[in-house]
Amino acid sequence: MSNITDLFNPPPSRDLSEKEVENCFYCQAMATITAFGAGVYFGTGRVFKNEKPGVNPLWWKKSVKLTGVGLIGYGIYRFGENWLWNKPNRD
Amino acid sequence: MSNVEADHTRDPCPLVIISDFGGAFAMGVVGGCVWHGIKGFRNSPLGERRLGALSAIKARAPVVGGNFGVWGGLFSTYDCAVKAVRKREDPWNAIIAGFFTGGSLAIRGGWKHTRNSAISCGILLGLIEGAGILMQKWMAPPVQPMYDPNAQPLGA
Amino acid sequence: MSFLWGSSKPEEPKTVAAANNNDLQQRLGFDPSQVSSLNQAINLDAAKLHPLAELEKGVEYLDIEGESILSSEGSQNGFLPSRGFNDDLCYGTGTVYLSALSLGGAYGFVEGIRNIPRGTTSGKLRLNTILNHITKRGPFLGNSAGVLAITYNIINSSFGALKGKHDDWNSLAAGFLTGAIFKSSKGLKPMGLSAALMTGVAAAWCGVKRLAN
Repeated sequence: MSNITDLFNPPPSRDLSEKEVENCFYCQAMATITAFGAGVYFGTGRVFKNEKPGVNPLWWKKSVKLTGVGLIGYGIYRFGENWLWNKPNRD
Repeated sequence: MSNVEADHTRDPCPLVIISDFGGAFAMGVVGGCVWHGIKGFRNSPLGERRLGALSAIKARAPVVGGNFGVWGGLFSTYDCAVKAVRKREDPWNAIIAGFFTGGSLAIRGGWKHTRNSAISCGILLGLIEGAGILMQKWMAPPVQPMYDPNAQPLGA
Repeated sequence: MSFLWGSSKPEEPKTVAAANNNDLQQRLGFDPSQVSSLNQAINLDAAKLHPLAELEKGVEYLDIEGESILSSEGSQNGFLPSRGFNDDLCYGTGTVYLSALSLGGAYGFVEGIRNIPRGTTSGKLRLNTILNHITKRGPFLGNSAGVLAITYNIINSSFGALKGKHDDWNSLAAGFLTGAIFKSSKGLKPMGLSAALMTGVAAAWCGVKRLAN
């Protein structure tokens, strides 16, 4: 029923069909929102607000920020996919 | 795709995240009510215990629910992402998703904390998954061939 | 195949065929020499296929929805996949929480832009002010709305289970009770206000459902 209840009652292993993993409007909207939200959260350093001083080394903060920037980039890519760029060729 | 193997009791992937989030949030609120109710009740002076429990519930239970919800939503999101990348559904999905969830939630605490949390969360989910599979096998034993006492002996 | 057998013996096969035809007609229920297409030959009278299958009642399709105990009258809202209380609760709470989160976030965004200290040139400081307001408003509104949604769904489903029917009155009553419970420790006036507000929201939701169906 859901991914969490599947933990306790796992479905049999199988390969997913192409139809189940193809792109869809919901998927794209959800991925865009998630990527933007997480990207802003990580990229602007909000994660480390009110942190204990000295816990996080600088390289760690920088790599988290870089991940955030990458997520924002991915969000932009997902936002425009299929209608601004990477259009499916309809033939 | 043949309809025979499609399981209609399952929800498609991006929507299931909403359901998981809501379910986890509801579970967290209910659990938070019990937990903070008892805590507030015990930490209040006599005579104000009911009020103390109530105000503790109102202040803390939604926050507990929110934390649970974030966990559930994050886990479900990672699970969907892993499914989409691997194009396969098996116990490894949950373990990988748990690894990332644990890591994401611990980023604030520093590199070592993130690593340890990710690994322990992955192991925990592996254990839960293993227990689930064992439970399934235990609940539904394999079908035994039936013995028919009236069967005619085979052969000449 | 006639070119193979040719027409060397034109008479004899016909009589044999006629005799065979009678025989076959009795065995098969139709005359094979009269058959022009397969559709005629295979008479798909369901009752004749197998008496035990009871096919004359019509083919029974697989019930993909499954039978939920709680799927009584009027429980489908047409928006979200719902198979009863559990799904109503999970999807309802999730949707309401996320909507309220975005709404609160948008409100915080506007508030943050308005509250940027004058003369700030640092982009980082501006961004920080906006983010502070977003993170202050969004989760708070989300948490409150999520709790309201849980309470509403539990009460609504309890009414539905007690009455055996889901209708608009259940929703309105559930909305009223939810609002009253939510502000129950603040005194009578806020209680009445929030109850009225929640009843209004429930009424609006019922209206939207009616329009959609």
